[in-house]
Amino acid sequence: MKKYMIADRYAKGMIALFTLEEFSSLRVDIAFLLRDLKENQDLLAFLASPLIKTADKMNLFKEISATLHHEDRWNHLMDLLIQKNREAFLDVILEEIDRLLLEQLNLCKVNIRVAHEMSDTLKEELETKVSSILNQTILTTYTLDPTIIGGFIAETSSQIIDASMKNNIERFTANSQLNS
Amino acid sequence: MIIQPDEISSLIRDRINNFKFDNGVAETGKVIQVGDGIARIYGLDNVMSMEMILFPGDIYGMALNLEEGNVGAIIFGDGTAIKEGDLVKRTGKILQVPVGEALLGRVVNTLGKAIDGKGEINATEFRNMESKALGVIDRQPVVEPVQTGIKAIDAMIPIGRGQRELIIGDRQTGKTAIAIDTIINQKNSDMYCIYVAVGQKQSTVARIVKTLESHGAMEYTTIVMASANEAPALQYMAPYAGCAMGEYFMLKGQHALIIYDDLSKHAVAYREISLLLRRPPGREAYPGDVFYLHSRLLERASKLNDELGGGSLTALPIIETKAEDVSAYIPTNVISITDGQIYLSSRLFHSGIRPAINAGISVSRVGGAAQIKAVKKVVGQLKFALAQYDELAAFSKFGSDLDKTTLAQLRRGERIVEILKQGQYQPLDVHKEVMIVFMANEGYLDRVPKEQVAEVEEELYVTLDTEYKEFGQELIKGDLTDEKREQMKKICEQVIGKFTK
Repeated sequence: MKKYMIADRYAKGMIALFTLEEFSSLRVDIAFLLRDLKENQDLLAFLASPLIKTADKMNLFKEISATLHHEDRWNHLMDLLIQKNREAFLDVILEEIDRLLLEQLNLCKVNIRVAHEMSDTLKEELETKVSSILNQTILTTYTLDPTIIGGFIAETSSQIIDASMKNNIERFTANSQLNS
Repeated sequence: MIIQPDEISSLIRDRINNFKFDNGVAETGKVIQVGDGIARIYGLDNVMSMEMILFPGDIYGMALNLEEGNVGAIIFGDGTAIKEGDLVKRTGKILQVPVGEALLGRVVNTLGKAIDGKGEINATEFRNMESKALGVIDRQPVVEPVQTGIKAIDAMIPIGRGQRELIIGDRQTGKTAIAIDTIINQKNSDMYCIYVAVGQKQSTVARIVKTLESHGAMEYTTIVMASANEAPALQYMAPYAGCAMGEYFMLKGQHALIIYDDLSKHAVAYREISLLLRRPPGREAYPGDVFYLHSRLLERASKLNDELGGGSLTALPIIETKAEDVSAYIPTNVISITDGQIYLSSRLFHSGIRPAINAGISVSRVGGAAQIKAVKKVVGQLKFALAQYDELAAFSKFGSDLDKTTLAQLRRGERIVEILKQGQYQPLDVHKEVMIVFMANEGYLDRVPKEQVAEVEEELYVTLDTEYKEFGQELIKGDLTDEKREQMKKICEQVIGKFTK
């Protein structure tokens, strides 16, 4: 878990290099890199491997970054990560940069866990509700989790809204035991 | 009792109707590191210092170190179930404990949960464990006494309601015994008692509970226990929890007595936490704020002014010294915070003087003002005579010829030492204390051999209980008039006469 603390420092440093106008192109770059890393599991292993030469790692990354909007700055970041032996944290750093970017744009990624499939109208209603609780514009993803019985659990990186039936039943049970 | 099925149904119906559906919004963080009762958490950006946090499995913790990038927290309970990556929730609350009459007669842990097997505690009120001590305006000087029932203390080192009096001494010198005797002596008074056991053996606490129960003292006593096998976090917070329970009575205009047994182990628990949280160690490896640890706790003991109800919280902290070294770090700290100390000497203890109170270096800085007038007048120069005797006794060991006055002083001193001896769990009524001290001070006991003093004392108590019951109660009311003094002399003559015929 220490990687989050490390990633936070690099992310803050990286974001400071960009202006507000560059944020949208930066987000495109991040999405591209994250997709690449997700689709090619070996890529991160290659970058993190101590057996691979530094120059080879850098060359490979340069090939990837050639298509990015901010090629130079990405290369500099990778160079620094290689120097500090932090290549393995690239994915976490990218996620953290994205999170900080969204924070600055008053946007928030929310994963909503629901017990059953929901209609679009209901989803829209739920998103409005969650958005008003968090006081932020939200970008949602949905996960099906039948264990929560009913209701929903909305998770951001730093907040949780547990309006699930499971949580409320547990609370009700605990209160009943206390009062009896 | 037969439970009607519809009663249960209605109960359930009411509960369901009254249940408030909660959307449970909470700020979260993730556990980075956990071990030794300490957790480091990533996230929780807005957490407050000393805020309660919730780990999975309903385990509570408290945020202590708010650092750049992570939060250091202590875990109240078994931290073995907590894993790296676990979600931690903020509660937005400062640690609270249940308070009130529901806790009387119960043994609870630091979080106020019952551990005596007598069922849940239905407390309706809660108080923050940590709270700011009352200010100067809200207080008044101590004016009423706390009767410990121990002759040596009530006569020479009087304790007032709202005072902080330290009990200090080596191990096995009778520190806890004084505290327990004091609790037992509150039986027919309006004082509630709280005994906080920090880092003690469970068997020791069990014995104390049994003793208090057998003397009917549990009815007005709460025991807060954080034994040696519990997490240092629980040991660290136990005195604050007990103090919150005592403050409840004080703020209601009632009187409470709290015993912290002991603050040396409390400081050790805090040192353990601090070192694990990587706070810089200072003298004897204690952290820099170890003085504040005890000062903020003991400052909460006070006597409220009449506008606020005149309630009081008297604190009797206990400190265990090593090899009678009162100049160690923690003893000097607590000595400087408290309003006096009762020093127990192992030398006196082993020479058969029990309670082993060393009157020479024991002192009560404010208690004199609260002493009952009769006691104050009778005691007179008792402490001075005892100090003089100690000096002369050492000198007389050289075996040189002694003059008449010196011999008389030695004779008086020996008898004072004898009357100040007292058995454990035998606290005395105030009028009996007054009478026996009067008897020694006025020289009645000089007429009998030293070995007979205990018998005379016993006879005096029997006489007071049988023939002078009303006078006993009258004696402690108001000033010591000439008539009362005459009556006291008469009783002394009557008792001593039985031994000098």
